[in-house]
Amino acid sequence: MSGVLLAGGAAAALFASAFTAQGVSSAPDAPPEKIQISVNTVNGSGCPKGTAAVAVASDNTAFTVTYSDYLAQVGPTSNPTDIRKNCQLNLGVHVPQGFTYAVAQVDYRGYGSLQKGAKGTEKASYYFQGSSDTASRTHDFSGPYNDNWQTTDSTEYSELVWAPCGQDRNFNINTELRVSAGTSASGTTSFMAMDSTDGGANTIYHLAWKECP
Amino acid sequence: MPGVLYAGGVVAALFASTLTSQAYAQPPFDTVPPDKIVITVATVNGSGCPAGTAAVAVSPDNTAFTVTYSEYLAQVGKGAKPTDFRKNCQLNLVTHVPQGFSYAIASVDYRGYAHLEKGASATEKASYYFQGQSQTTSASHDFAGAYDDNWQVTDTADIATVVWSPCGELRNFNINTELRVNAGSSNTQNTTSFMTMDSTDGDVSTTYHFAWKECPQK
Repeated sequence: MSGVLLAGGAAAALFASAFTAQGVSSAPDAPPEKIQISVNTVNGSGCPKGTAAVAVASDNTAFTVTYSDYLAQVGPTSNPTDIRKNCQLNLGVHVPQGFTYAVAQVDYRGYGSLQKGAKGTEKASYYFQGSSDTASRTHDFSGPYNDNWQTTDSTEYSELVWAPCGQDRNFNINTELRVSAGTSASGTTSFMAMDSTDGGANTIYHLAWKECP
Repeated sequence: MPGVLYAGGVVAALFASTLTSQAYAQPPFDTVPPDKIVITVATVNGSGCPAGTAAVAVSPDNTAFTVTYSEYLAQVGKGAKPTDFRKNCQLNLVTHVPQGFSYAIASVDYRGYAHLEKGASATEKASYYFQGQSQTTSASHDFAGAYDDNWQVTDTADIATVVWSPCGELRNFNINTELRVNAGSSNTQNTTSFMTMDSTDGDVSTTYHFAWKECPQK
């Protein structure tokens, strides 16, 4: 996928530590102008080139990524490094002037097959390009487990991390799956997949809005 | 990715005293602001990021970038080849430095994951070379097993440049990153220690700029 956006525009560089939602008490409506969400890159050990698909919702406030090869595993037929896979999304969110945005809710869905004693983890890390501040959420699963799983990362409106006003920085979401054998019987396989087989449900990113001062 | 256009960028950075826009098949920037340093990623290559395994996203204002990797992993132990203990990935950045004197801070964030058995250790190292500066800087960050989690480190470098050409210059900035894993006293017959790099994020923040002559308007 194309990695470069050359959209001109001037903005001073600064860091995410300045991001706050101070003085904002309620969520305004989305701006009337059309916004554009672009997925600049999708890449990682769990989504190498050609294995992820992206669909943007018709109202431009959400999008979906599906994976065909995103699976972490332990067991006799897996490589030792298969215990952890990741997939990082780099999003361009082009907002109307005077508005900024934050990610309010993220839903992850997949499948887990964990032997008794094994453990699985779904983790997502969020940060703005150029900022060292990283927010993360972790969800753990314990075997025995053999079913679909779904996790949601949501944040109270007052605690959202807003994109810097007047700046056009991309947003990164680094998801990962981990599996550990734990006390499970040797010779058995445990795995965690994100949207492994049916191509159904997915990773949906909801956006929230506020007005810049 | 724009990498094809600048395949000779690394060589140019080492041997050319200046690199002008004539060296490029097309300008790397649509427009450049008069008062700050802007960057784009020319090439990404190395044993940890062979062709097709790295993705580049540059911010719309050309002051920040994100590189993500799908195969940047160094390992030792069971299942690892003897040469897998060290992987590297070199980024060659084209920077436009405005005419005059600029003072900027380059900040680079590295993020990844490490699984290190007890007794094993690992290192993330980055070497920085900014054309026009005599100084080559490197920074290392060490990790010791037992370790099983994400890692993140940040390097910050001050950049002071003086550009005499009337309309600014294109210069190359090289960042050579590497991951090393050392088995140490860990069991290499039955266990594996590894370290991955998920992403590299760069940011150039121009904090001071002084120009003594304006470029002619186009």
